[in-house]
Amino acid sequence: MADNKTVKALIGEILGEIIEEAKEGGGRKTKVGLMAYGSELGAEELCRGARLAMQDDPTVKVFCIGPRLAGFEDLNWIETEPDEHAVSAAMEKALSDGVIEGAVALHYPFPVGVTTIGKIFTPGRGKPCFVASSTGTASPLRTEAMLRNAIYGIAVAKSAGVTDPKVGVLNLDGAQTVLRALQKLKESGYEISFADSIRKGGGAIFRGNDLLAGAGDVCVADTLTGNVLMKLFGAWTTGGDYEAMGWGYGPSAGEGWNRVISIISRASGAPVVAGALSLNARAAKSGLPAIVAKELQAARAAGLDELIEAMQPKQAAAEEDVKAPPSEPTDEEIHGIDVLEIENAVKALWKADVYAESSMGCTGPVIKFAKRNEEKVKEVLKAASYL
Amino acid sequence: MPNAAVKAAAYSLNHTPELALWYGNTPYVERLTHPDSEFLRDLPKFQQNYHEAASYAPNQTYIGAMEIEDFEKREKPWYKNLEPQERRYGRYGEIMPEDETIAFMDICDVFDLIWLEKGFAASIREKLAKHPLMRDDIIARLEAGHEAADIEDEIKTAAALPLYVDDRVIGCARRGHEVDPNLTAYELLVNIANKASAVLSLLHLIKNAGMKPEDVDFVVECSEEAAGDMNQRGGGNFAKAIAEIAGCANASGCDVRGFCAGPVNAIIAAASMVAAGAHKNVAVVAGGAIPKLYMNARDHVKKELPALENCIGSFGVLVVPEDGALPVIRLDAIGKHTVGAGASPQTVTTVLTYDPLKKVGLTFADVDKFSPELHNPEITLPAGAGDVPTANFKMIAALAVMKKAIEKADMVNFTKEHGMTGFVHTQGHIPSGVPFIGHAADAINAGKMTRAMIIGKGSLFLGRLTNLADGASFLIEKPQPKKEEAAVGREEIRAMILESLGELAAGLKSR
Repeated sequence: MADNKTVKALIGEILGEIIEEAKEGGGRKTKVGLMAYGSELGAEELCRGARLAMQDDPTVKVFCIGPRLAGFEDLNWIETEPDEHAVSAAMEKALSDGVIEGAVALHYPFPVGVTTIGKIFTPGRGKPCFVASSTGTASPLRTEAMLRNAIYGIAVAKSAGVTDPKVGVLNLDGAQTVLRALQKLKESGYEISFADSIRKGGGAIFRGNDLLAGAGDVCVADTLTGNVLMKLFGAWTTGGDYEAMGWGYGPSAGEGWNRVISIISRASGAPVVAGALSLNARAAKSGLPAIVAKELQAARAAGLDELIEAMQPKQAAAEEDVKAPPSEPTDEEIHGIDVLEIENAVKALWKADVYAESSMGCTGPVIKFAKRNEEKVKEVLKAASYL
Repeated sequence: MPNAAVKAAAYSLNHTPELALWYGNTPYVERLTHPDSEFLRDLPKFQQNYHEAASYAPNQTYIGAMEIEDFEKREKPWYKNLEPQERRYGRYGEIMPEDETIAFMDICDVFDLIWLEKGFAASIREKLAKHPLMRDDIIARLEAGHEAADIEDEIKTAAALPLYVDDRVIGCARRGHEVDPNLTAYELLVNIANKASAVLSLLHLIKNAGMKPEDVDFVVECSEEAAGDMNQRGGGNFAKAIAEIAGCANASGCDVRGFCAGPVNAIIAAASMVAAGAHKNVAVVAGGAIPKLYMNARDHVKKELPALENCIGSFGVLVVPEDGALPVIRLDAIGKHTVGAGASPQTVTTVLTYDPLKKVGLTFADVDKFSPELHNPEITLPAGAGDVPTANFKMIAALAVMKKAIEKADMVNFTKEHGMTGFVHTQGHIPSGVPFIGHAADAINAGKMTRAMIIGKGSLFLGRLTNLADGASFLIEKPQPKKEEAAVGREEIRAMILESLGELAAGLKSR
């Protein structure tokens, strides 16, 4: 262990934590930030949401980030100028410094590959359902994105305490491809449970009815469709300008992404803000990034990369595939051919019935062939301007 | 997964234009087959003398007398735009002139194979004595010398090869056996030059590491030469022979062979020994190759360019246990070209760069600099072999696009940012990735770089033993601070405090 001084400091730090918990009651609180500036419903709505969150969920300690608001001085504040850039910057800093473990934001520049998993309230049986995904995008390719959304949706559901989430794929363009891929993952050992549609015949392809009835714990969709669902299920009772129900657009997930940032919209009402804060805290506390990494690793062990590779659009197989002449020992090599042209150069030689193979030894890219063909090789390559 | 660390690196050049002229393979074979060819007639006119070689930017970069970023700003062609100052010594090693090199070969010869003419031996002894690394026990190995007539006779009657300095015969390289093809004067001359250049780098390595020769536990040698006789052609042990002359009394050693992929494999082997605790301080070394001198001189002379392949290259890397401060060689991200993998440039590049990175959750952009073969393009372009480093970086960039790590438009930028200009002599295994280790380790220590990937590839078909491609790669990076320990500590301490508070509470209640 480190030297005495640092151990003592560590003990002091932990003793302080225990005392703080004892004083405030309710065990260790998860510290979560909230962008408290920039809502269409006014900053009061956001702060009411913060207060509601701490009232309904004692494990959450909210830090409001923005200009201190009259009437809400009792909340914990990270004060900034009344400017959205300042608020974003303060949030980033609080996250990196560890002042907060997660954050609920009105907007965030997620890189491609990082998306958020929302949570809605389904009216039929009052059941919650995770919508994978709601903002950002897991991949520019739709089917790959939906496949990754399923994995991230499972991870977020698990981080929120749903141990064996039932997964359904919304009946969109590409749903069958995604479902087949998920079934293949399951066959190769990836643990996943599929939901059953309430419509006759069941199956894991969700229709609108299944969403209203809350037939599954996770509903997979592309992010644009997901975003529409979030708004519909959140604001259908208020005519659309006030999202009253649900837990917001949800925490972020992605390959190698280690920040727990949830999204709400500028039309999210206090109940949704409170729900989002609580969900964010739960994800931060259970270590969502590690859960995402574990899910990805399990899926990768079951062949995720190969399934994704198979989804990639094939370059048009323009050149017809030329057959190589019978192979023979290649005891001569020629250098200096552009590395990106070398496979075409080999095919040009095959077409001229000369056996050749490309390689990359220690003298850069080379084409190898039998020494007796040397003149013909040079002739063919010069004619096709590879040399 | 324990790792090993890089403590120091050394790089030296022996500038030997006369060994090149007489015994570089291309002119040597030409002299046997076309003794009066134009190439042989004109070649001497295109030599680069010591002052020019020691003012040549690529050479200065190799020995650490110039930073790579500065080298890349130098005006081309470098052989025309020489540096204002010649540099004998750099941060990693030196450029040793030919007369001292011949003498040093005699020092490294323990079978009286190198004879020096008396007068030359005497004058060179004084010159060498001023060399900062030539300890007395090393200088003591220099012979007193022989009469010129005896040398003349040995050349005429015993197939010895003359050794030249300033166009004058100042000694000879003798054979080791009348008929054994592995003990001819030529083979032994090649082996002794290889050994001597490796000893030079090992001496610099020990100095650069701030250690003593006795501190070296093991030497792994990784050149492409073979030492042996009729019954065992490649028996070897260059490593131990090199350690002996450098004075590493506590070291043993062995050789690793893999054509140009020798060095990366040797470093992975050394790092594995250290990480496993088998040896503590392992020196990975390799000398250079006389046969490769003037390898492309025919094209250089034809295009009236200086014959730049006039230096025997050598290197050394000291691998030690990781200590949380020195740059780490990551053994959990080794690139391996398997028997089953294909030979195409894309496949070879994929298995050596993308696969190891993916295994540890990294991507192309996480590697600040890739270091594949670093041949000096000023040597290879005129010979029609292209710009080898650039070809490698283009392939890596194309692969990064294919794997969606970068956009197609960023390819050119990627090769500039994550690649570098070649600065190393075409000495086979020498340019094969390892010349960047010194520069990388310094940049990492200075906090200017986080991670570099060292890549070496081999052309196995040259030996006619297999047609397979070959290669290996590893990452050198800033050591990770030991985080996990503290986290575990935290939970344990918390439990201990609650436990003692519980005892305190119980105590208070029972009083």
